[in-house]
Amino acid sequence: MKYLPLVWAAFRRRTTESLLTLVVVTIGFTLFGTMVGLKVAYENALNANRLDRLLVLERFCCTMLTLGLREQLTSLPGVVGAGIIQPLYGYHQEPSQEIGITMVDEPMVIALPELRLTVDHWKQLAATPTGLFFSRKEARKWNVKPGDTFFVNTRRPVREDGATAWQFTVLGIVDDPAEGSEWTSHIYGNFNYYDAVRSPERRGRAIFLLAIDDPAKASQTCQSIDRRYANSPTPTYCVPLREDARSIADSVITMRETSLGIAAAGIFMVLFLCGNSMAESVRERLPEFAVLKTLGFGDRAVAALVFLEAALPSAVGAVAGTIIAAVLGSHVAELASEDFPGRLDSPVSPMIVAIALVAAVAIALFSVAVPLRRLKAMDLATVLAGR
Amino acid sequence: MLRQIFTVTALGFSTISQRRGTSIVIVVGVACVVAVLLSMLSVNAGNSRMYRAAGNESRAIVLSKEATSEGGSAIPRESVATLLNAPGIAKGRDGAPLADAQVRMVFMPPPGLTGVDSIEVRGIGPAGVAVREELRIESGRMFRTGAHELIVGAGASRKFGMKLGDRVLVPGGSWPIVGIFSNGGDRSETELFADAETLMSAARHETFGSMLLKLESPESFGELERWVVANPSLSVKVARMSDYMRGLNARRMQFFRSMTYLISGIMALGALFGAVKIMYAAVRARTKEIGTLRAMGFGSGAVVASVLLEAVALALAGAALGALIAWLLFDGREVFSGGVFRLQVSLPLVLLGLAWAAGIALLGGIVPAFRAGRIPAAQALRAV
Repeated sequence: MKYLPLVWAAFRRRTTESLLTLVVVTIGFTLFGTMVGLKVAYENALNANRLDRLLVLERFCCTMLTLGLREQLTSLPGVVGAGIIQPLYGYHQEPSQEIGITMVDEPMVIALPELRLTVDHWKQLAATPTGLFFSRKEARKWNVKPGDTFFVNTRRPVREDGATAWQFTVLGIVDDPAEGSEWTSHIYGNFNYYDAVRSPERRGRAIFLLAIDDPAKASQTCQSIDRRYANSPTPTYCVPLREDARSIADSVITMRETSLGIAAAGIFMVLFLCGNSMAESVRERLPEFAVLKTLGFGDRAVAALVFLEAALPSAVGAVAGTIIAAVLGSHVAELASEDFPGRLDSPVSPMIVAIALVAAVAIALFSVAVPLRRLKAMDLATVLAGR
Repeated sequence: MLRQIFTVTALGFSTISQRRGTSIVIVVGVACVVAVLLSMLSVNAGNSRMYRAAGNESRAIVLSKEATSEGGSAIPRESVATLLNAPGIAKGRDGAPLADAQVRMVFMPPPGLTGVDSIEVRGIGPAGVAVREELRIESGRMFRTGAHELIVGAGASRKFGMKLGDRVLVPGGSWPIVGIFSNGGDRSETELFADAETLMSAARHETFGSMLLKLESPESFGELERWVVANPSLSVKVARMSDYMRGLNARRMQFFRSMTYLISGIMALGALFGAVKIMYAAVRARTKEIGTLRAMGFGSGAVVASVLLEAVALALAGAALGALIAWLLFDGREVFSGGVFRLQVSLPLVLLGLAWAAGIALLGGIVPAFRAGRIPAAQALRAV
C-alpha cells in the first residue's frame, strides 16, 4: 500500500500517455476476453453433447432404417434404450420461418429423459396423434400456448395424400431440455401418426437414437453396430452425438480454430506497448530511482515499485477489457451459434477474468524485465551527478 | 513548402534509430492488425473464389419452386423433359440442348474419415461434361455410362485421401474411383461424380435434384426465366448460377465475414490509440529538433506533415511485415468448409491492409502532429 502514492504519481506524470496506454490495454483485453471466451464456449458446447447417446442412421441418403431394427439394437450389450427420432422439416407461415419437428415414440421418451418429455406427455400424444409439445424456449419463439392450432408446411410432399400442409394442436409446454440437447428441435410430435400418414415408400423407416450405459464404450458400440449391418440392405452409420457435433463443427468455418491466435496477437500488441512504456518511463526517471535508493529503498523495493507501475494498469485494463468482452461476447456468441451445432453460452466467465489477470501479470513481468536490468546496473553516483 | 516538408521529414527519419523502441511498437502493433485482417480475409477470398468459379454467368440452375438449395429440391422427369424445350439454352454440336439433369446425394463419411460430416456424390447426365466446360480429367478416365464407377474431384481426393482404384461405399455396393477431375477450382471439386441414372437406380431415387443449363449468352437468362415462370406445368424456379452461388456463399460466410471486420476493427482501434501514444512520445523526443527547425524558419505545416509522414511510413512498414506474416502462414493453405479451397493472400488484400495501416497512422498521428506544429520555438529551444 505504501507504494501506491508513488505508482499514482508515476501514472500522473504523463496523464495523457498513461491513459492512452490504459485504453490500449483495455482494448487488447477486450479482444482477448472475447476470443478466449468464444473458444471456451465452443468447446463447452461440443462437450455438452452426450457421449452416451448414439445416433444410428442409414449410411446412404434416400432410405432410412427399418423400424424392425429397433428390437435388435435394444438387445445389443450396453444399450439401455432405443428410441425413434424423425425430423419433419418445413416452415411455419412464411417460407423464411424454417421449423423442425422431432417425431418421437414412447421408447424414445423413456430412453432420453433429458428431453423432459414424460410418459404422461407421451400418453397425451398417443391420445391426440396430431398433438405437439413445445419446449418453453420454442413456445416463446413461435408464440404458442396450449390449445392453439399450429400449421407447418413442408417444401415437398411427404404425406401420402400429396398435401404439404400439416395441422397440429399444441398440447402443452414442457421444460427446456438439459444442456447438450441441441442436436434436435424441441418441438415434439407423435412418430406413429407421422408414419401412418406419410408416403408408403417411406413408411416404417426412421432414424434411431440409442442410450448406452457406458460412455467410454460409445465408439466401440458404434463400430460393432456398423460392422453388424455392413452387408444389410441398409448399412448403418452410427456416431456418438458428441463426435457428430465435432465433425459438423470441423466441416464449417467458425472462429474455433482462429480465436486463440487472434487473442495472442492482441496480447502481443499490448505487450509491446507496455514494454516500451515501462522502458521509457524508467529511462526518464533514473535520477528519481537513484534518489529512492539513496533514501534506503533496496533493489527489491524498487523492483516491486516498477512492477506495480506496470501491473496495476495492466490489471485494471484486463478487468475493464473482460467486462467489455462480456457485453460484446454475448452478442458474438449468439451470432456464432447460427453456424455451430450447439448453443454457445455467454463466453466470458469468472475463469476468463482470472486468465486475463494472469495474462496481465505476465505482461507486467515481461514489460519490466529489461528496465529492471537497467536499474540494477545503474551507478548511483553517476546518475545523481546528472552525468 | 514541399522542400520544407521534405527536409523536416528527412531529418525525422534520420533520427528514428534514436527512437528505435517507440518506432518498433508502431510497426509491431500495425503488423498484428494487418496480419490478423489479411489472414481472416484470405479465408473469405479463398471461399468466394471457390463459389465464384462455380457461379458462371452463362450457366443457370433450375430448382423446385420452394427449394432454397439443391438439398431440398426435387425435379420430376416430366419437368426435365419440358425444360429441355426452353428457349435460351445453348445447343451442342449434335443440336441437343446443353442441359444436365443432375442429382446430388449426401452420404455419411466412410469409416476412418474424421473432421468431415458427409461426402457428396453427384450424378450427372450425358450433357454433364459439355455444360461444365472447365471439367477436366486430371488422371484416370471418365466413368462409363451405366457402370458402377466414380470420378473424384481433386479437392476431395486430397482432403479425403481418395485415389484411383480406391473403392467407395455407395448404395448397392462399393464403386471404384476411375478418374480424378478438376473443375476450375470450384466447389464441385470436393464431390464425387457418377452417372446420374445409374446412381439414382442404385439408390432407388426417382427424381432429379436440379438441372444445370448452359445459356446461349448471359443475356438469354431473362427469356428463359420468363418462359419458366409462364409455364403452368412447371413447379420450378431458375436462377443464374452466379446469383445462386453468391447467395449460398453469403449465408455460409456471413458470421465469419462480420467477425473479420469486428476483430480487425477492435485491433485497429487498439493500434490507433497505441499510435497516438507513440507519436506523442516521438514528438516529445523531437521537441529540441522541432524547436530548432522552427527557429530557423520552418513552418508549422511542414512539422505537422513530417510527423504524419513518419507515422504513415512506420505503419506501412508494419503493414508490410503483417502482410508477409499472413502470406507465409496462410497463402495457398488448403481449408475445408463446404468444399476444399485454398486461402489467398492476394495483392488486392495486401493493398487493403496497407490502406488500413495508412488510415490508422493518419488518424493516430493527427493530434500529436498538430501538437508538434504548435510548439513555440522559444519554449522548445529552452529545452536545449
